[in-house]
Amino acid sequence: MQADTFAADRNTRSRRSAISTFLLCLMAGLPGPASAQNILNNGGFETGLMCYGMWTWSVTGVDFAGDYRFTLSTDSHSGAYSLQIACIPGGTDCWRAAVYTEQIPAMPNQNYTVNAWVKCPTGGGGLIYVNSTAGSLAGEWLTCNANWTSNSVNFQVGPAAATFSIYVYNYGIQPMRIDDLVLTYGDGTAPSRINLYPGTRSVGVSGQNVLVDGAPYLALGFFDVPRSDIFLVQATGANTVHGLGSSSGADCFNVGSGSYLDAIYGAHMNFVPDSSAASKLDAPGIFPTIMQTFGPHLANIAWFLSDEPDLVEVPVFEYIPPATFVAEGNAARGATSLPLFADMQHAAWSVAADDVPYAPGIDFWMAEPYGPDFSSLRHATSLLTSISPRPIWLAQDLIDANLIVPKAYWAIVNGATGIFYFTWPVFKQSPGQLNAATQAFSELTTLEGAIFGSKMDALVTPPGGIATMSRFSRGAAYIMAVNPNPQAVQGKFSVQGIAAGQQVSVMFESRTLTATAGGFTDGFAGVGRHVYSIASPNTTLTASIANKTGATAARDWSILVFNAGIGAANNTAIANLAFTRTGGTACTPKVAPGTFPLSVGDLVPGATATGNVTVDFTGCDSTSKFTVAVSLSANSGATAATITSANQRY
Amino acid sequence: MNILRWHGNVLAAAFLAASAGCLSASPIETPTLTLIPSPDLSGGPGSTVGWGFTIVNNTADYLEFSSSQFCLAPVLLTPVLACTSPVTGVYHDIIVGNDPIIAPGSSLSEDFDPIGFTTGIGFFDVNPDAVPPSSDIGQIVLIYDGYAQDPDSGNATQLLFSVPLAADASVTTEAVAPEPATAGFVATALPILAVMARQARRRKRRLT
Repeated sequence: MQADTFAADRNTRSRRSAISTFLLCLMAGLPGPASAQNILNNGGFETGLMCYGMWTWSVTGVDFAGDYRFTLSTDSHSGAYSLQIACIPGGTDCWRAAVYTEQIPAMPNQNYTVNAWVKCPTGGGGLIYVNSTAGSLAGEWLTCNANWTSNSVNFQVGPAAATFSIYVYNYGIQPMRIDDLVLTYGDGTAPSRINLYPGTRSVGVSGQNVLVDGAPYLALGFFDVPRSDIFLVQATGANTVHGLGSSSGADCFNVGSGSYLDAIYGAHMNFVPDSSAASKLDAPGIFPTIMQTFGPHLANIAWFLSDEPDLVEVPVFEYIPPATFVAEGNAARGATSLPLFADMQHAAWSVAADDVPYAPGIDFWMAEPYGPDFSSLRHATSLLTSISPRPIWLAQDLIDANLIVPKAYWAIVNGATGIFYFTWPVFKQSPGQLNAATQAFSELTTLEGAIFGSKMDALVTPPGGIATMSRFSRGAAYIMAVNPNPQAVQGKFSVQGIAAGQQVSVMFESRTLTATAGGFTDGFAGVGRHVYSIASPNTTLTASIANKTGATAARDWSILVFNAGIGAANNTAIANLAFTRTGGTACTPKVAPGTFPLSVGDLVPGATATGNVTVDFTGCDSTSKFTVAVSLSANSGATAATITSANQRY
Repeated sequence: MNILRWHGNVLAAAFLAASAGCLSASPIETPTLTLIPSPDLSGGPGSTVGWGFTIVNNTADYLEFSSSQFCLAPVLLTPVLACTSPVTGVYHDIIVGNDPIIAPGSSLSEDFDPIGFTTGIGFFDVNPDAVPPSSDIGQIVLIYDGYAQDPDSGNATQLLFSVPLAADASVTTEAVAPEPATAGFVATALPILAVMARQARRRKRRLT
């Protein structure tokens, strides 16, 4: 059933890919429908800093320091808002600050015109500047006369530039307001906005899983992926691109060849839009517009509300007061069904109280336990789960290649269901790390069914120092084991019900172990992972008498049946309940004919079910003692057990 | 026949009742099981070893036992006991067969009877072919039920169903020292073997 679903999904995506590829190829050969519009989809800052970055320069030389603040002003040239860059009252460290567009895909040798309406006091100073991947393109000083003033710059992109970005600087301590930033080709036209796949995916949160199109989703991907590298990212096995970085809204620019999101969706991947910069403006009221503008695309599966809102140490760029954050989340929820999440920076090293106030603003968590230290990852997942058990996605950075795969498993074993590497450009330049990330994606994708399988952690006890995640999926048992320490570990994995001689395959290592009764032995040379799979294991049933109620003539005995092994127990039934009197008042318990077999259903490993048997104890009293034999059966009789309980009274 | 019916140690009950009265907050009411004289036993292949016990009933219920088992570690006690049987021998119950009923606030203590196997919690037959030094490490697990009244009173209400009570335990198979008769045989044989070895060396020298 599940396999059929997967196959159907593959077929759907294949069709989708074919259509997408056709349309993209068709459109790539055309200049795109030109109109007197704007290449920038947020030129008027009506959605805050969506599609923009911000920066301040401090006289101290320290990043993120200084007294500039970015806000939305209702003093606008058009629309509801303009962007204001101003030094705080009494601020002394206001060297300069800039707002800049994310990287705009360049058309080689194309002429462009950028126009900005700016309002800054006489004597103020500012600059509009265009930079590209092939070098500086243009720059003009802004006119500051206390009125809204139009400022234009014409420039040509050379043959080598892949992207360019527009900066607007405030060099003064007086407020500068910026509005209606319009970028067109040299002839004043711009392509129309294109969305090949409008709509909203079915995405939700169930327990600690994100459900995409109804199925648990294992998110694997990178931050900061330029459009030109989408297919390279796809080749790593990634399925998701995180918008934090150069592609926050993804649908930021009209460049006439299908949108970034269209390309993502066509490449069988999904996207997470990012509103981090917008979230720092203390303007919750813009979030419905943000969601309506950038949310409706089938590539989008969740919304990254903000990056490090809890990082009080960096007030301008990161920190958001919890009340503001929650207000933003509530405003966003009113305009999108996509689940919201945010990266809680403190989770990796601080206390729960730091992040508790943010929980109402989002639907699931992200944390960034960077570096080679495995303990901060466990700290993060434990802390966030203690606040509220929700899905957890993790940001991971570039670490020694040998640690990337085990740390990815460590994330999964500790409950994460998403891993994003920071950042794609950095990994792209590091073949060792990129290969390791590719290996991690490949292995975890292979194990996706197991990762979301039935939990059977209680049935497996690893050697000391080893952490495991044990799951049952499609008839096989899986044990994902990680040694987070450099010390070697050799020991026994105790597995309930495993039979001597059972073959244990060590996945991705071409090894096979042979179990002894109750477990198997393996070793770790140091930090590393092993994945054990046990195909078609036998299982063990057990039971206990869980309750007895009702009148003597019709006592209801509840029999709790437990699948205590690592294999499936299909069509499990209580086959019989036999009474042997061992003392007390003589009597003969009777069970109605036809009661057995009493089905309790299919039991995955570690599952329980209750069967209720009505017994007529007429003539008995509490002195009447019996030895009771509960017979169990499953798997068409291949699995059977009889559990005996002595000294049972009615 | 319930040969070891036990209706409570009055002194122990009085002590526990007095203790309970002194406590401002009552602790979790669970019985305790201690294996005596030691939870860790050893014996040679083919031997039989056993455990005595002390059970303290801290609960407000009458306790009666429905099974006892020796399970290899790790033992899964919930949601239903999943017991992995020992490999170096076989465990046999005593306590359940004796069916003691322990009254609330009472305790029961029995030494293991190594001759008649009539008292104690159970015994363990070490397999004759068990290879020293090997061991089974796990827990003795009792399953008990709880009643509001003495169930033998004829009208008891059952309150607790199939509750596990466990204590760590182990059996180590150890090498057996030669018995006197065996030692005599060895004492006789060794000189003969020495003479045979000397003669063999002489023959080898002549051949070379």
